[in-house]
Amino acid sequence: MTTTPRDRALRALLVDRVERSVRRRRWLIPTVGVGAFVVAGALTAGALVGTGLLQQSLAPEDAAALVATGAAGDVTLLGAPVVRVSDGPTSLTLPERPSGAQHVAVGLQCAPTGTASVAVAGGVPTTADCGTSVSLPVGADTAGRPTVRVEHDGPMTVWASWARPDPIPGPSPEQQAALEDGVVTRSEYVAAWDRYVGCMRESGHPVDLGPLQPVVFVSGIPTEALQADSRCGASELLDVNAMWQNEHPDAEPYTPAAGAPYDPATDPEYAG
Amino acid sequence: MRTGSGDDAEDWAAAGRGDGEAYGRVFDRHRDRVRRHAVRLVPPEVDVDDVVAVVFLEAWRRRRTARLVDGDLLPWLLVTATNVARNATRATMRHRRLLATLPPAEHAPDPADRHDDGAAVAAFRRLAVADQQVLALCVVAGYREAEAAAVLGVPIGTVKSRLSRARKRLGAQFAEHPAVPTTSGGHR
Repeated sequence: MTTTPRDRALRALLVDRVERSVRRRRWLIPTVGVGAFVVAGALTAGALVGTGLLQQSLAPEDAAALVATGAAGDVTLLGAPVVRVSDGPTSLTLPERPSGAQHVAVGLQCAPTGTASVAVAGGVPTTADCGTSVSLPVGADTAGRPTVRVEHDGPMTVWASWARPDPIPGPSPEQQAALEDGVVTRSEYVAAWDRYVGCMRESGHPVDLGPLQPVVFVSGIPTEALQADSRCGASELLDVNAMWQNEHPDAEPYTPAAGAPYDPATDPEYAG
Repeated sequence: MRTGSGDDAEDWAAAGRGDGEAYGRVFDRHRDRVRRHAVRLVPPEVDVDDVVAVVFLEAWRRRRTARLVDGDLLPWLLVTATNVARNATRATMRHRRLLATLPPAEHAPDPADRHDDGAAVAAFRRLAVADQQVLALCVVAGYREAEAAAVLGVPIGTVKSRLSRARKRLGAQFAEHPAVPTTSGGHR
């Protein structure tokens, strides 16, 4: 049987569907500290890290906060981070690999906001959102001091550090039960968020979802809560959230479809 | 006669890790077989290409319930196709926005695909979905009863009894429409 343009389009749609369903994660809005580290020439001078590399100096308190801003929350940074301020693409050279380091974490603040391409040791580039960080595995066969290459059109501040992934808990029995039949209902989605909010509250990081009940919930969490978010999210929410978003592909973040009050009568996926 | 690929396990696992191209290969392997199966299940007014699309979308959406038989995803896709065809309108509605993004079929359905679109197929469509499932797997697709039991998640005794009952009911349908000389094809 011949392959038609429709077949090819369907195949591409399925490929995208699979990749999006696994790639999609909850959108985090760092609400603390981001604004303080927009790239500018006003960064204060000071000793940052004693790597001896050619790099912009930051005040120690700025450096510490910058590294924390947008940190993935699921890695432990090892050794001293290196930081660079640039106007356009730049490269950073890491120090020698410390014991136990399997990843390199890279964070960036950009102006204008958008995305940047990040590659470590000449590997395959990955895309990182400005204001966040990414963690990339670095194989044991990478010897010496690897280079981190960051491509972005415009000014940015970049930090990079050796890192070790933190153990992430598996989904809770409640989350597994919600996923068991392959469909996430509205009530299961809301219950997962309730458990996540409760977990965060117990960790000392209350999350306020506000009075609205939109199609897709978006949480804003402070940077110091990222570690708790990583743990609570994996346990109570991430898989349920990903499946719900997969069921509602039109509800992209910050669109009316995502932010409108949820109305089951207009939801073709409604299942209680 | 069955010719299960048995190649799906690795691609299915890779798709679960986010490898979209792996699911694309599953689609490549089984698209035509699912389409031929769907032709037998849906009335002429239903777009078979839409049913095929929904089968693969639904298969991924319900991936956690998937059952592979000897590394072969096809029987589960056929079960999914039977369910989708049974609720073609509702299922199509579920994915209607995605279907709308696909280009229209560029040709009329191949008459050869509908060569057996007669009373036999019409009788098949009138059967209960449980009867359709076992007939589709054991008679049309040629899977063993144990394999059908595995993919349907029921004991083999249940498959045997359903198969016997489905054959009788299909026979009864023929008795009501005696001008039917053929059965559905068994090629895969």
